[in-house]
Amino acid sequence: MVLPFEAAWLIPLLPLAASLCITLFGQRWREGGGWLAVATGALMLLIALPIATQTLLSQETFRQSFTWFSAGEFRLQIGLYIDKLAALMLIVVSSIGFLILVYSTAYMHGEGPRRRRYYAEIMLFLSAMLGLVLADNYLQVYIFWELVGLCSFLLIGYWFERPTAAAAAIKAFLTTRVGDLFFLIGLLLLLVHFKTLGFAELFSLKLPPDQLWIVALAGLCIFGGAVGKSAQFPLHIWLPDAMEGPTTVSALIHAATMVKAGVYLVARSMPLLVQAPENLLIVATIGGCTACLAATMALVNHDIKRVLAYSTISQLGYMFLGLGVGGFAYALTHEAAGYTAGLFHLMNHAFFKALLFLGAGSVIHAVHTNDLRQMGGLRRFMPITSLTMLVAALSIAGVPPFSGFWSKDELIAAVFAAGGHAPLLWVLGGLALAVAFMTAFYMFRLWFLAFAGKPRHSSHKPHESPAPMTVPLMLLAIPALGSGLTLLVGFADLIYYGEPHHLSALQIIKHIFTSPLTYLSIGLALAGMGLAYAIYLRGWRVSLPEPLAQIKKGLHRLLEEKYYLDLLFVDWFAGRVTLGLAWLLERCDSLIIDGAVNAAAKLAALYGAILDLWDRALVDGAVNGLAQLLRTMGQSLRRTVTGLVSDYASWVVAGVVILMIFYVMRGAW
Amino acid sequence: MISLSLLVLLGGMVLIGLLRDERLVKYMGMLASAIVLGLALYIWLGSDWRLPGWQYLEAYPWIPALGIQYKVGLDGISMPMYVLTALLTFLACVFSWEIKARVKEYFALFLLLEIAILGVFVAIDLFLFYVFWEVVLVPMYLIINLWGGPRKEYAAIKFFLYTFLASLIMLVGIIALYLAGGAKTFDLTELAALKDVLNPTLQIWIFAALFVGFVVKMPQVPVHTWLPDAHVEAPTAGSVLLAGVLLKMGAYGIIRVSMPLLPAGFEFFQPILIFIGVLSIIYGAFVCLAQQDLKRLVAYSSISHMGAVLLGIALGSELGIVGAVYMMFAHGLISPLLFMIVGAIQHGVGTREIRLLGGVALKMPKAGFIITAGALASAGLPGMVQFIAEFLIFLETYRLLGLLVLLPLLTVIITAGYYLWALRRAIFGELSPAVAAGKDVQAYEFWPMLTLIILIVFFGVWPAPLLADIAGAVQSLLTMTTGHGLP
Repeated sequence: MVLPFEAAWLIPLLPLAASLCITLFGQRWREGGGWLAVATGALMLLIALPIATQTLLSQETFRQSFTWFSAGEFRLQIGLYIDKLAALMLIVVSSIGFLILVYSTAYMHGEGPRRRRYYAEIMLFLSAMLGLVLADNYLQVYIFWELVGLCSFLLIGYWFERPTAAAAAIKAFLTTRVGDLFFLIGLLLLLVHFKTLGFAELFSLKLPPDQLWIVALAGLCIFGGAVGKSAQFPLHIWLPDAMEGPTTVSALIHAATMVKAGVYLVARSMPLLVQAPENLLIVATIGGCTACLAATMALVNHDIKRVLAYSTISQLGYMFLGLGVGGFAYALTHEAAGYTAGLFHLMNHAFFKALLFLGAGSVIHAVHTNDLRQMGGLRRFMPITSLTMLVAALSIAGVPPFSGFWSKDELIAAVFAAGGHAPLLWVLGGLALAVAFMTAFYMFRLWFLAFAGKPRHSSHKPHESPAPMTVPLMLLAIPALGSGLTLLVGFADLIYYGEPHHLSALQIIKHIFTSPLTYLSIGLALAGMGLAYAIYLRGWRVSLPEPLAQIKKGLHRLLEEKYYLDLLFVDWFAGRVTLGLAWLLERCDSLIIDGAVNAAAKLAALYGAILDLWDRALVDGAVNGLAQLLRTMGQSLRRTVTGLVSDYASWVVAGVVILMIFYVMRGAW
Repeated sequence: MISLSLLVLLGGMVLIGLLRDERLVKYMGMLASAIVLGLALYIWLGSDWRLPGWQYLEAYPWIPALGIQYKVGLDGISMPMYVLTALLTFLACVFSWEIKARVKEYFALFLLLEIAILGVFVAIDLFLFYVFWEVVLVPMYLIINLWGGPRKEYAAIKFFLYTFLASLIMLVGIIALYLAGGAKTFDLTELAALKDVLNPTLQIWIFAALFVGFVVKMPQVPVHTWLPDAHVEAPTAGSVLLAGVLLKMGAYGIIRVSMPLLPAGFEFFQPILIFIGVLSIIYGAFVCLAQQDLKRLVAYSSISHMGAVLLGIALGSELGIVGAVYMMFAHGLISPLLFMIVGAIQHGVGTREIRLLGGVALKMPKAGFIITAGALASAGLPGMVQFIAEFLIFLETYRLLGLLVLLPLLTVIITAGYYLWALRRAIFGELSPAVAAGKDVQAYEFWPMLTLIILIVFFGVWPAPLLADIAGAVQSLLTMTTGHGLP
């Protein structure tokens, strides 16, 4: 099916219309607008897929824009910019979005009439997310960036009556807003100095060297926005708490799409970033460190969703590492393998992580708890869920031929390949390998604790979820298994920065399987899985000697306390410093400023009292005389004020007559 | 057309005086303000505001001996304020459906207040401007004093004294301007032509005197403390007009009177205005964080947001002033919405104390939706009107002042912080005993608020026409001020 590109305007508009419809009429529908959401999702997918395919197959970038408003010399646009990067995002967002809408109809069934709000907000989210990936300028990205943040806020707080959910929603909004602020600064820099925010215009700028600092600074600020949205260190603290929302929301927004917006933004801004390669080292470092930091925290958590959340942060770190390394290498050698690997991982991760979350949702649906310690043995009761989860776990752990293996391997290879240009990259490569080990470990810890072993849950018999939930799981298992294979059929020829290589499948396979690094990472993954098996299924325990045991205990506590970063940012910085300052200024307002005002008023009153004395002694004598006179006059007038309407009416008539006589006489005169 | 609107309001007041049935009085108030709103929309849509010069101009001599005229007209700067005043008075009348005490006086005073505020925005004669400016005080004082909360006397007298003293100093400035010009005119256009005759030092002094009047009205730190008290005690409809349009009079005065008439004074005071604006933005936002009363919080947020208006004006460039006027319009839609919803919560629950609330969204879903929308709008969420205004002001601040923009920008986080923190404690969370017995928003409360939300989104999504209207007037203003184009 060939569609005109103009149809792409419908992609974000359809879910928006659905969201409005559900808000306005949803209370009349029994299922809260769920079927409208699914139908719209299907339509959106039917438009998005052909457009994305057409874009991937052609060499053109589709662009169309209108002036939104002008301000002085600035003209701000609203438009579409569909290139291969946008097409990739389009496929990911619309397909996963659709599957999650289907899943929601069953998962949210018990919510009753409140579902209306869920569907309205999730459709609004889809609209904003699609608007974001199709945007043709930074302002438009920023607007939709804030709107997806809004939807994330609303949906994390879906159960707003739970204090933890309300707190998590606000934490998410404020933490990402710190990043957004950087983004906005970057945007102002670009707009003021280059008079445009359009991608096409900005990326084709030929800059004199004295303006390079602007691009460098703006690039760094834009990356700041990505750090917030994609939950990278140090702004990662909101994502684990965001798991307070419904699991479908975690899957769609906090795993597959919105948190990828930061990665997308960095990829999109690559032409600006490569002009300041040292920025890209910052991107890579933040990415690598976050990947490692988050993976360690995933090791000890007992909440199935939070483990997945830390895993998401960690994998997003991988993507930034890939993009950073790719851009850095491109600036030096015009070779950007990391760029392709980062985006490849973005796609694969979107599928397998959505699957993991939806699987977790299926489990939670069955056992009504998030706690891994109260699960176990679910394999027998939930065959589809456990099997699809296993596919996803193998994928993220990096076992060939599952999809995660290909992208992770490409990514690590790219980091080491660029190592010669900056020794820092060797360190980051080492971290990436450590993360590969930890990922396999925590993911299989999760799987074994939930699905294998003996049941630790108490009361009822858990059961497999209904078809609207299991079918999306099975459908997602296909890309979780196979999306990595697109590498062999030309993924790198479509998504690249600089020049494509046009390698054949055989060449790629040869390239991968002749590198010792590949075997090292597979080995680490298997070791991680094996360790998880030994500890959580075989009950293997090592008794450490005393000082080491103490260290292990301390380390465990450090991880459980999330490196005390939440404490530092939320309790200390937001709670103590900011609120303390607020309290101080409030005191200043009520004591100092208002104190001065009230004192002045008192002084004036005192002065008035003195004058009053003076007045009564002297002036009043004169005034009283006058008053006496007036009173006499008043007495005589009072006789006319009778309170009878007829009397007043005659006065009015008399007045009118006098006026008429006056006018008549004046006319005659 | 303008005089007709004022006469309609006057007629409405007279009729309200004659009517006996309280229901009819309420309908009369709504009808008069609705007619004026209709006329205001006709005025807006019936003319091309991008053209230079006054539109709907009317001029009659009033006190010829002193050169005082009744001269009124509108341009792209005053028109949005005019429409806003008409809209908010109408909505305030609808919102006051359940007023029980002294109904006649109440609605008559609101119509009088509307006459005075409209008068301030349409006056082209400085004397007339001052007369309307002072007339505004009386109904507002009475509204706070007669229908206010427990500390109404204190708040009303504080409001009156603060602004009255300030406007006396302003009067001194106006008289000095009149005498120094020597042309025996109060006509703003003619006075602006005299700006080169006026000695710069004198301009600075006159600017200072006028600024005292204007800055107290806005109000800005450190002369702002009348505002929270006035708002907390005022009835909701009073707060709506107070925050929605009364505060704008100060900013409007600076743009309309001080800038074109006293360019040397403006140049001298520019850094001080910027300082006061930025200080108010930050100070207001931080003080919001410490508030325990939702209404007081919204009041302080006004100070912060009016700081952004002052900052935009102080930049003195086209984009800065356009941003400031748009911000005035934005704040004129958003803060009334917030005052209405806080009033509705107070009405439904019986308290606005944050610590006594909780779970409002559960028990009162409409109220929860509206206050969340209002808070997000006020925090500058894109897609809503204030984002456009803030974006323009920040853009121009960076263009002209560089990284100083970081100070107001950082406050954006604090703004989101105080609103969301208040929402978390008052609106979300578990049901508090007070809220459990509450009832949701009434229809006569809901529709005015929904109207405002629709407008907030409309002007956030489609700002181009209004921005073009404002920009046209700002360009002519700046041409008048500097004699040439833009900096």
